[in-house]
Amino acid sequence: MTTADEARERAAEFKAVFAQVKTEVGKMMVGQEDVVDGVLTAMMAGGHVLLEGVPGLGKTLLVRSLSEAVSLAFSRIQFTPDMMPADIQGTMVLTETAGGGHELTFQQGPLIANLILADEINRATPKTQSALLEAMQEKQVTVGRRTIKLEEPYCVMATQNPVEQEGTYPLPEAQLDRFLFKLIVGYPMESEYHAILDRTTGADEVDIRPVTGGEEIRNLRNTVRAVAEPEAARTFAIRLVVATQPDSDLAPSSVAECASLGSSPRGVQGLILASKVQALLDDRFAVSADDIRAVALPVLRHRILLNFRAQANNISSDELVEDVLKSVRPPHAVAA
Amino acid sequence: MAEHDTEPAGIGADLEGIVSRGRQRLRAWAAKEALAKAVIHLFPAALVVPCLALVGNLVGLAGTSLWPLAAVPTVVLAIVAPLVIVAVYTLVVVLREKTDRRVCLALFDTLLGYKGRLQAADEFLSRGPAGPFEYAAVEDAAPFARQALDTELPAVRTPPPVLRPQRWPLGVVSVLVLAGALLVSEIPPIADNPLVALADESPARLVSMVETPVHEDTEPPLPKEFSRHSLDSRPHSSPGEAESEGDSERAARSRSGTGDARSSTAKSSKAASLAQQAGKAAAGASGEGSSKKETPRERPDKPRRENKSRPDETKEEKPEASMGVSGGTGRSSGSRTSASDQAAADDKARNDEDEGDATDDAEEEEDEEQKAGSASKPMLNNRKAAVDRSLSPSGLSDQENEQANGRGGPSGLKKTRGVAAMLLGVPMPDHLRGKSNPGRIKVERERADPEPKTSLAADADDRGSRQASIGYLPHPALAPWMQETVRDYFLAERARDLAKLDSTPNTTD
Repeated sequence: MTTADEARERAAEFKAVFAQVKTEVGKMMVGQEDVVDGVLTAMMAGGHVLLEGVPGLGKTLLVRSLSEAVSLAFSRIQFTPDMMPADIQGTMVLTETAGGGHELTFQQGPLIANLILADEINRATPKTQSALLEAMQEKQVTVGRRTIKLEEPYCVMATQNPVEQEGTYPLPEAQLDRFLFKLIVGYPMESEYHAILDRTTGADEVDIRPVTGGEEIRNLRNTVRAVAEPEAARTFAIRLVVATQPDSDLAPSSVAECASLGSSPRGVQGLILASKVQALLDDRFAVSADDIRAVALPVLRHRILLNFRAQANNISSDELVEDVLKSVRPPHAVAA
Repeated sequence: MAEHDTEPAGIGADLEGIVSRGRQRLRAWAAKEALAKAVIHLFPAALVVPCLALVGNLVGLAGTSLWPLAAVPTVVLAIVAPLVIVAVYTLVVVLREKTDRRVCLALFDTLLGYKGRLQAADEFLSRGPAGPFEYAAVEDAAPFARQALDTELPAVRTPPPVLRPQRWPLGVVSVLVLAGALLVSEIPPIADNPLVALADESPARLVSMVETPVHEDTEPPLPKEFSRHSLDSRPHSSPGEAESEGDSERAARSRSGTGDARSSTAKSSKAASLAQQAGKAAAGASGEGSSKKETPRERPDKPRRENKSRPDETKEEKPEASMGVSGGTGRSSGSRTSASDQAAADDKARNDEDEGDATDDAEEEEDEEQKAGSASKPMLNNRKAAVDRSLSPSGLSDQENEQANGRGGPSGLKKTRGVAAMLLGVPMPDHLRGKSNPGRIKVERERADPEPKTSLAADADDRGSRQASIGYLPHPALAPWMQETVRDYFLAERARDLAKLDSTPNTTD
């Protein structure tokens, strides 16, 4: 078998597992193809996902379904305003020993798992939200003198409701930047409501079976990272990220006027990793500019901080990303 | 490359073929674009030859012509030159076009929708594929490269060269210029003209030529304009000229009112004004006013640079004339002679010419109107400047005004009406310090007689002492096993202390 055949085999395996997981999740989740694809892409790329949508659209259901389909250690954290960092990281507690004595032992929090559902993450105070920073970036939790390495695959899927502002705390920029994707969950289409009713109000129970596990997902992540990235695609991704920075020469006028902060280098990493997944799904072995364009919106939208002018004129970060995509051309591109 | 991996057959050659095809396509594209740009400049380029011909022929009027071509070659050159310029521009752009290999491949990737496969394969081949996915990418691109060679690229529509309608007039202009150049070339040089020879003659000679009866058959008459111009510009040397000059000067003096007759008028008006006015400041002004009323004067004919259509031009001249009249009446200008008045008038006229700024004109007009009006309204001479309504942050005007009457008149206090008065246009510091006064406390006293009221008396009795237990006192919230733990801890501590005491050697023994 040649090395090219090996690559083909790995790519085929990736695609098959991806399709299986998607099918299992689709048993419970009706429609929202883009969101499901985005969640799976982020998981395969090794990133975290922030799902934003109004209540009742199935954000939590999607993550729960995914956890059942991938057979990973799953924990759910319902964020509340009175939650403390120790509540999610874990703390030292006094426990009874077998001999009748007592000792202080570490009781790990729900953050220590493989797949974390951080439900309504913006209801917790920034103090508690900050407890996620280390876990999301460095895949470890430090409590006191104890540092616990989190087992791969590790994926945080957070949900938040953009409408309710009472009693919520917007996520700090440092934490937003740690999410690979920010996916907007929209309303389902009219045709999808029938299927939703069938699956949720009928007597039949939907059975989701696990189709993959942690070991396989780790291998698939390695496959994703092995996808080739030509210089042109890499340069295009870099230019896109630089163009989101308001002071750069590549920034379009709208970004220069309406953005106060642009994307960090994490944005480029996210663009390349997510576009590698796209290339594999499209039966290719190298990333192209089209793959980067396809993932640019969910990767960059939460990394652009809008200024007062943008808020006053009701300009969203999605519009700025669209402007960036229009203004930045791939290297060597010919204006056809 | 690995043992089992070889370059897919012919992909390198296929990529080379794609690159060469791409270069041809891009070069043709660049030529089209260059032509479109050059055609825009076709009409301006058509102006070059006619302008050169016109300039050359105009120079030729004075002497030797700089435009060597005859009419027909000039026309041919005027037609051919712009076409040549456009062609050369296009050729230069095409020759300077350096197409990158990657751009050629990107052209095929874009137009055929290959999603960068050809570019990626070319890059991996050039640097040598390093991993399985790069080998796979090269192999994956091979069929696409073959397909690209066999496929004709879809035509990209480029806008056809357009002659912009805004530039069409330039074509007409170039034709007109060309016609003008050809016409000028037909005119004989100026040196051959007899008028030019006359211009070289001295003025005295020209005058003598004019005054001397000329035989029509021997010398052609001078044109009227020419003779008038030469006469006007000649130096004043003859006695007849001096006489005529004296007449004109006199006429000018009588027009500007600076002659002897004027001075006598000034003296009489001075006497009248002295009789009327006791105040020294009002004397000159009243003299001006009376003279203004009595002597309607003509405006001196002085050259004006300003627009003649200005309606206030006559208004502007009036004070100036009144100044001339008051030369014999006013206190300050009473000793002026008519000559000094004339000089002042001339200076004034010169100043007027120099003043180009409309603002200065307006200010001067205002001042002069004020001076002129002071004769009829002498009390206005004491008037002060208008009250400054601008407020300081304290709400008071900084301007001291003795005319303030305290009733909202020309005072320094704020005097505004309407909504503007309700809005704080300027920052107003708060003058209230501390707490505001709660106001006057009014105490009213009423007379009332005390009324007797009955109350029940309570007898004291012995309550006895407490005998029973005080009841349950809750222990601090500790579970039994916690209490046990704490008790064990303290017992252990006590035992350790006792052991420590026992182990201490007794020094007294």
